[in-house]
Amino acid sequence: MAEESVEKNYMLYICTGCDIGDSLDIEKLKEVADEDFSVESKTHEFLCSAEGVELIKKDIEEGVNTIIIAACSPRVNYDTFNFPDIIVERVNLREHVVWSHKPNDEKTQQLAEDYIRMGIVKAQKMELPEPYKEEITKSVLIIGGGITGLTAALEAANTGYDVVLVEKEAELGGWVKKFAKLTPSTPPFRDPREPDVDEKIKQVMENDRIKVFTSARVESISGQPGLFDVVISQNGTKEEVKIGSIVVAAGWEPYDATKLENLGYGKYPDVITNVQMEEMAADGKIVVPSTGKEAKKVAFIQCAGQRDPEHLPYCSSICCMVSLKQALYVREMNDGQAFIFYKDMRTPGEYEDFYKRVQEDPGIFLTKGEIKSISKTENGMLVEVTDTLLGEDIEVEVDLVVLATGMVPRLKKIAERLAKEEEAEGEEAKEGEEKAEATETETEGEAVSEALEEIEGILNLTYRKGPELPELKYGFADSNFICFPYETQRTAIYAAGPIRQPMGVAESEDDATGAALKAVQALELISKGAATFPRVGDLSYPEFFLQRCTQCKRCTEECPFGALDEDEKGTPKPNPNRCRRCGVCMGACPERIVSFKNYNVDMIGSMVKTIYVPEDEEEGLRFLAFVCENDAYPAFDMAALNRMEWHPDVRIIPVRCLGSFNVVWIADALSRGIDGAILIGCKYGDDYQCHFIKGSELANRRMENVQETLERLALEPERVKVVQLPISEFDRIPEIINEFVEEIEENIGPNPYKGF
Amino acid sequence: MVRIEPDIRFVKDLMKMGGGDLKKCFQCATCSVICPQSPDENPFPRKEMIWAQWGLKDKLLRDPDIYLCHQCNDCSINCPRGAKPGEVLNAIRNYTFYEYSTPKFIGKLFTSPAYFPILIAIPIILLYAFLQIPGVLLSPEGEHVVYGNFINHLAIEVAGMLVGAYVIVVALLSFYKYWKAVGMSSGPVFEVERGVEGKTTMVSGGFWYEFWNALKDILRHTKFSECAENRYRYLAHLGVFYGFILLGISTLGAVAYMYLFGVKELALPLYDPVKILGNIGFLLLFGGMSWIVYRRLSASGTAGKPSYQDWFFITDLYLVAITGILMEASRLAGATDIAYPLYLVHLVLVFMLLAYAPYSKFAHLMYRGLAYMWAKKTGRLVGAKEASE
Repeated sequence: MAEESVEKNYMLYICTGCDIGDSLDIEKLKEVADEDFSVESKTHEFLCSAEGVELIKKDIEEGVNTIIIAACSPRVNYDTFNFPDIIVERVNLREHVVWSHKPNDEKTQQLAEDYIRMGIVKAQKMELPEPYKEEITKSVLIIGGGITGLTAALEAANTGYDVVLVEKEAELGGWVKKFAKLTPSTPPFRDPREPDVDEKIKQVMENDRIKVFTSARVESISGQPGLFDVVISQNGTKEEVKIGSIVVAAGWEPYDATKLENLGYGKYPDVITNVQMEEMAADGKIVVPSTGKEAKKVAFIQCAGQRDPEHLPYCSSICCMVSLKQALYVREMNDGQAFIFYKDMRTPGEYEDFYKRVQEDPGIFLTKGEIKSISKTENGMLVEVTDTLLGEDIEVEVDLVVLATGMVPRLKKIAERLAKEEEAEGEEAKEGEEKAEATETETEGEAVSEALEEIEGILNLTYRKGPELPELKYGFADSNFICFPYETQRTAIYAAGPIRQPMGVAESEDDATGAALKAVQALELISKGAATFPRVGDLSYPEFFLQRCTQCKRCTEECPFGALDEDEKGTPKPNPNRCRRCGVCMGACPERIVSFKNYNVDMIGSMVKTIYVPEDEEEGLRFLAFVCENDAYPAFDMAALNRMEWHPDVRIIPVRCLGSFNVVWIADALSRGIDGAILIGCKYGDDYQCHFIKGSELANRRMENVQETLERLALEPERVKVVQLPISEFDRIPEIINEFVEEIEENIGPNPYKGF
Repeated sequence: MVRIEPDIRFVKDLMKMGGGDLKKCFQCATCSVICPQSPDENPFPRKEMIWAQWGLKDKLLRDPDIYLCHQCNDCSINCPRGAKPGEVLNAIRNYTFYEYSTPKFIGKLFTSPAYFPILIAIPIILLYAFLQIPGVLLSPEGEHVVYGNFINHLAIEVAGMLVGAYVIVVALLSFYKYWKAVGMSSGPVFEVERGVEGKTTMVSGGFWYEFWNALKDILRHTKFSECAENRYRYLAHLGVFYGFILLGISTLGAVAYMYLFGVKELALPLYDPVKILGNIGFLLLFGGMSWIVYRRLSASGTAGKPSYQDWFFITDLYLVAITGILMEASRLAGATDIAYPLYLVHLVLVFMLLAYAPYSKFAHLMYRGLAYMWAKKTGRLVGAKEASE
């Protein structure tokens, strides 16, 4: 803590450009800084100009080390006002004051003065972060040796990093190795291409940077990014390797077609899946299984067990292309006829050209339709189709029926097993209390879990929050949050390929490239002690004052990234490299023992307390808006940019995430006489937009505690409100703010604690 | 439940006969929506497109809707896939000429340009043989061109009658086949409600009643006039249609002159009413044909790319008109060395027009007429005026 002893020399810079000088009494702002805080200030009419920046630099040379820049939003000119090793705080006078409020108005002036006060206090409470740095291993673990894993391995190795590739099968190549041809991936997108997986395998095997483990699995992963301890078991032997970051490319498996008895699978030998068809084509002969004769007429049933709530409710996005490709096999290899019955022909993007090319073939017949029945006849299989484009129900006699079954992520069964185990644990706990009766369902459940027990995990993390990647609906890894593919809820572990979303070969290769790059970036950031997405480059990290910890486990439970493990007592064991610096732990802690050098409970509390609250309600009430930095804050900027006005009695305080909102701030505010607080954060739920996954949801949940606080203070619950605001709805801001203010002004009245 | 057995050969044939893009259709039904001719129930040409893709020959050849299409090409121009439904329907019509031809082996000769030499050889050989008959070929003398002095008029009339009789017999047989196939009594390949409410109150009035009804529409070109993108076709076709009729009337007039009024010399003067009718007919026919040929050549993208069957008929008809007027001109100019050879060429061309009528595109007259009768009877075809009432 040697840094803190360095004395802070402050300087406030007020920019008078961009309407600021014309709309505010700048001298009065300087007075506030001088009289309340003894902070000297300078003005410049164009602070972001070379001349303005030079002014600041000169002061820095002369010993100023803590600067407050009152100008535009911190979201702009961040590169201009970037001074290494200097504490910089930005006060947003332009967007949040002059562009969104009446110029030269008393209330606007008061708003600006409060922001100056809050900015100075924030700078006072802020320290330069010291990065958490340890010697890390710059290597990437790739789990899965299919096309995705192979590509990721090559990409990472070619950027100069060591790679460990783990494949559970004896041979590399995954599914693609079993395929005859692949959907075209380059213009003119007309003809299926030859698989190039052998070439990739060769490159991987020949690459000195890549170490390959086949017939192997990851037994366990412990530690943290940059310092993972990975145990790989191969043929009964175990090997421990140090790993920096991880790409999960564990892929997919075909949907269990035995559940599709309604389509004849399992009942008739001549009903096969698209995977079986592909394997037959790869063997060079497409035959009717029951007779061994060449299949002349083949029916393809699209969406077999897909887009169906009974089976896979989603579209696997590739089966249309696969069946089109396989129809060409029938034409080219057997000179036969192919019938494709689809729900919708889905050939996204350039694949439309492939669809067009297949359509041109006079021997390929396509129609939308619902399969009514599939049955055996003397000469083959009879497919009855209703709801067709031919205007009537039709039946076609074919030799072979191919079901276009979908993709199931490898994570799905694991997730099912984990859920079962969790349930069982819960039940065990219950059983102690109320010796439950052994019902039939229980025995049935046991049978299911027996089958599931054999399902081996992919990552086997030793994290407190569970061994695998959290999954989304349908068992895909949650890897799409806030428009960032590959990102998962586990830092420096990235998902690529069909484990995270159904996709084809070309898409998987792209995905692998992206994920490999992410894994490499993560290594570089972590080596500098910097955060990864979304606070990329943030050098701060949460510090825990554990002497005061009460082992309530809220932080370890709520951390969305599983950064915190626990000891037996429940004391958190932080892993800074797993941390994304959202501050959810800081918001969770009832003892307020979590803090960042440049973001902490005291800092925000002090900012709240420095706000001038008039005793006389005629002078106006005061409100706080705790605003998520990621979406809500820029939304306010956008509203201001569009010259929308909102109520001038509201003071905006940015927070890293609503999840970092500590309930104590409400008490701070209300006991000071502030009349209400609104919390504005991201959308939550299944299609959440929260940058930290659960932050806004947690904030909402914590409001229960807030209501207790309010009750204790004998205040109305309406004084505190949580609002979800997607960034695109910035135009709702005036309405949200003004309605909140008016509600309190008109129906609740001023805070009775004013003046205490 | 209908058993489907696609006929790949048929698909390929249609693609060769002008429907080359039929497989491009993805069934969006823009064509059926945009078509000014298509009825609300079971509209065309969407259903014909998928039947064609699936090679459902039986359905298509029994579907009279293909003759309710005048190929104004509104559909082809607006098709987002470039499947050209207008041309596909034309190809199906071309196929019907073959399918219902009698005897079918002659019909076959019209399906591909490969057989064209045979089609041209037949009239030349027949004409040669005809001229060998004593008394047919005369030796004209003098400065004036008198066609009757070159080839015996009576012989021509007799030969014409024979050809005509053949044509009528063959056409009737084809007509009957198509009649049965379309199923005038039993209904076609899809259900049609008769007298759909508000559309028409017409009740079947028997063959001649339907015939008269259809004829009225044909004479007025009522439906043809509703085309949007290629309205020229309506006007051009109208010209050709009436030009042809006027020429027919003037031919009958000439015959009447000879056999009723005993006129020996058929070189009628230009002020003769029959000659006037004939020349007006020529102008209409020539004008219409020129317009069609010009548009087909200059704007095949919108006007439709002609198939071989189209070209065969269009060119022949055009040349008949041109050689005809050149004959008149050379007669008036007294150019004997041009006039008589031209007459031989003209005879060959006329033979190809008339004797081949039941097999060539000329046959559309009878098939479309029959489809019109069917459509009138079922209430599927309603004049623009009637529909708006």
